[in-house]
Amino acid sequence: MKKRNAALAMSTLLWAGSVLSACGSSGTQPTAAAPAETMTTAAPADSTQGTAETADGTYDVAGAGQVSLDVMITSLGDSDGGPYLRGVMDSYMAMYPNVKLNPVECSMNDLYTTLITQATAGTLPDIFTMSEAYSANCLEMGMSTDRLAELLGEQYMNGIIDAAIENATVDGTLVYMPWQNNTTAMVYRKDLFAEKGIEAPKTWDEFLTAAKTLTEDTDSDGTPDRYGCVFAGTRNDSAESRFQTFALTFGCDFVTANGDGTYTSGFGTEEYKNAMTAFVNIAANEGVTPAGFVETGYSEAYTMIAADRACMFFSASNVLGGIYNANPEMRGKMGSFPMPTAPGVAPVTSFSSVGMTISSTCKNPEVAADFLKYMTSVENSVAWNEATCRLPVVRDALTAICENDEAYAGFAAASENAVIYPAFAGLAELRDISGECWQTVVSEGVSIEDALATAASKAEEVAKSHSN
Amino acid sequence: MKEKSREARNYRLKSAFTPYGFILPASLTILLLVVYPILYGVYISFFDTNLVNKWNFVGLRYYLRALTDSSFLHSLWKTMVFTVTVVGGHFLFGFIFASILNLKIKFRTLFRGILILPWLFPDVVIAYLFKWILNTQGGIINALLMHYHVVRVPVGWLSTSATALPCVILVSIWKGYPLVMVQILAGIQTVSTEMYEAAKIDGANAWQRFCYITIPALKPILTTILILDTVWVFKQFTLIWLMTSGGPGSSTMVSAIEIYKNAFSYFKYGLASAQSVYVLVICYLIGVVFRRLLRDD
Repeated sequence: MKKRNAALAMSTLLWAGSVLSACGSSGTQPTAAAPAETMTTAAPADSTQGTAETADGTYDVAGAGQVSLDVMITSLGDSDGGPYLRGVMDSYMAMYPNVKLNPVECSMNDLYTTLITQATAGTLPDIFTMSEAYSANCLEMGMSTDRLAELLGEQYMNGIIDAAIENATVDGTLVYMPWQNNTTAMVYRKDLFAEKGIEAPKTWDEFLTAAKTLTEDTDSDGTPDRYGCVFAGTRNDSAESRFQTFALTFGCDFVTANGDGTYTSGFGTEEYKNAMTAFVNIAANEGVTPAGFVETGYSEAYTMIAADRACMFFSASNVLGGIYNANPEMRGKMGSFPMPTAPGVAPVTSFSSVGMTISSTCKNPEVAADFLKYMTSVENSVAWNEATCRLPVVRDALTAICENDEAYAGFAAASENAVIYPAFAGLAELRDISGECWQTVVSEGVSIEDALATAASKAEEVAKSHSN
Repeated sequence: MKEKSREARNYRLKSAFTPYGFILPASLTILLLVVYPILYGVYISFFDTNLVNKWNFVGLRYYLRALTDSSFLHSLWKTMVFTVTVVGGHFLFGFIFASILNLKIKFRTLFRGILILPWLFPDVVIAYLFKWILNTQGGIINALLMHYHVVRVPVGWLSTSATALPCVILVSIWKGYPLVMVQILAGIQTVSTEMYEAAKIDGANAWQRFCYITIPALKPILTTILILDTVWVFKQFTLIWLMTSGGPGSSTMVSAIEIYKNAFSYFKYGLASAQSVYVLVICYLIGVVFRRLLRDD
């Protein structure tokens, strides 16, 4: 706790430094996309460089002088989201010619490595992508401003779904502005379900039955060529975080905070054992998934659905974008339903979010906040969804999208039972232990009992090492 | 007289310092780009740190933990197996192809160009190329095997423990042999043909000429390539990471991947640095041992 306080004190000092060096002046300029929302940011109370605050308490971007901001958003490199984001940046710069936004590309896989390097060298971009997986570390290292909530303003914050705010908050500090809503649900081939008369499964037993029905040898060559489902089994965070959601549907929490600074791993529980056993069985032993489960990552999985070789896959909504991009004919054929659960477990899924934060070294945090609010306005969030199929966390935009496209119905229903993982710095390690566990069972032939025992022992060690 | 002695003293001073002036840029570059990072890495290994604002001194704790960490020891073993087989493969194929290219055969230049191609491709391209060639679903190897009814179901070349490491080794050999081949070929071409002719007259067969003329003549080159290749292969990361990420399970988890994961997935920079120091020491010892063993008496 003392370390956390020290980190907070350090980030406060950094923030104070950035505020003192920030520049600004007076004037009023409405933001085009969402004028009412984007003009709510208050200028810093201790600003010593002019009056950037207008009479109604909003921040005057046009009067802020020449501002240059480095914007490192992981989606900038995506084929679908990248051009759209650059368009949003261009339109913001057209609106405010005094603001220069410099796009910086960085893949999600390289994000944390890049951030560490930049933080060490003191070259953090002004705006950068952040997620709940790293938010605790981000706060501890004083990378982001600790007054993000203040910069975004109460009115803007009220428009974001509560789970997203909770997810992005660590020890009472909003670490990043949530943007992408990564509620997990099952996407499926709606047309094939209708053709076979299958109802959306509510339990994993029903799911397996449906998957068996959907597994077919369509060209009659003696081997199935369309499988009921596809599971991601690679040893990376993408697949491993999916398993964490899968375990949740068996009533297993990877880790539990004991409230006294210590943590207990859930890997030794019966629920974890049931989850891992069911996962391995469905993914590798039942013949309802394509061969090569251990090699199947996220992109391989949605490519198989797009290629009509698999029918179900659990993921966040952006998988629909991947499928439609790979095969536009799939539009209208896809649907979604909430995650099935084990017997006796109430409907549940995981909520996580990816967003952006403003660095503690940013000299113009108010302008950065204004741009972020512009970028995530209702109109831009809907347009972002059209470009990428990602669901937003802005309440009105989410409602509009889910009402207009039936494919998101399952995500909307699932979000009612979505839970947030505790902020635990060793989460990546725990996930990796799970990945190693199923891979040793499937590819090395180790018995599930032995693999589970090894996993439980390693997880306990991780929980202990992160306990105070 | 005094003037002359001052001039002589100035000249002596100038002569004494001029060489240092010449080596200064290189020395500074080495200090900044080699010595400082190594020393900083060693420094980090004594701390529980996030590299930004947490620096808790832990002494030798991470060095001791690395020695008892079964994952790290397992990764070192995998690295040894990988290194020995890959370097062996590089030398085997390097020698074979260099010997062939040294013969007066038709289209020698064309073959030389083709054989050197794998070395010209970036690791990333090769890794993805073979990942798809060996892919369980739709990989050309499985497609061919199934087409000719060699197997009924596709083989998980990279998803089965028994085949993943051999596949990665083969790809690494394919990628790296051209360097050894080129060096050996260059060495062979410097060996005087008169020596071979003399040996022939003395009744030496091809094997004897190879053992008693080619190998000794190539010894200085071989020592250098052996040390460089062993150390490069020992630190191999890109190919393995992109092909298998250390999996399935931990069947291709070499020390470079283990260290990378500790540092950049789990943010255990201190432990990762301590493990890196062990790898540095091992690589240094490899160089020392090879130099001793292959010393030209």
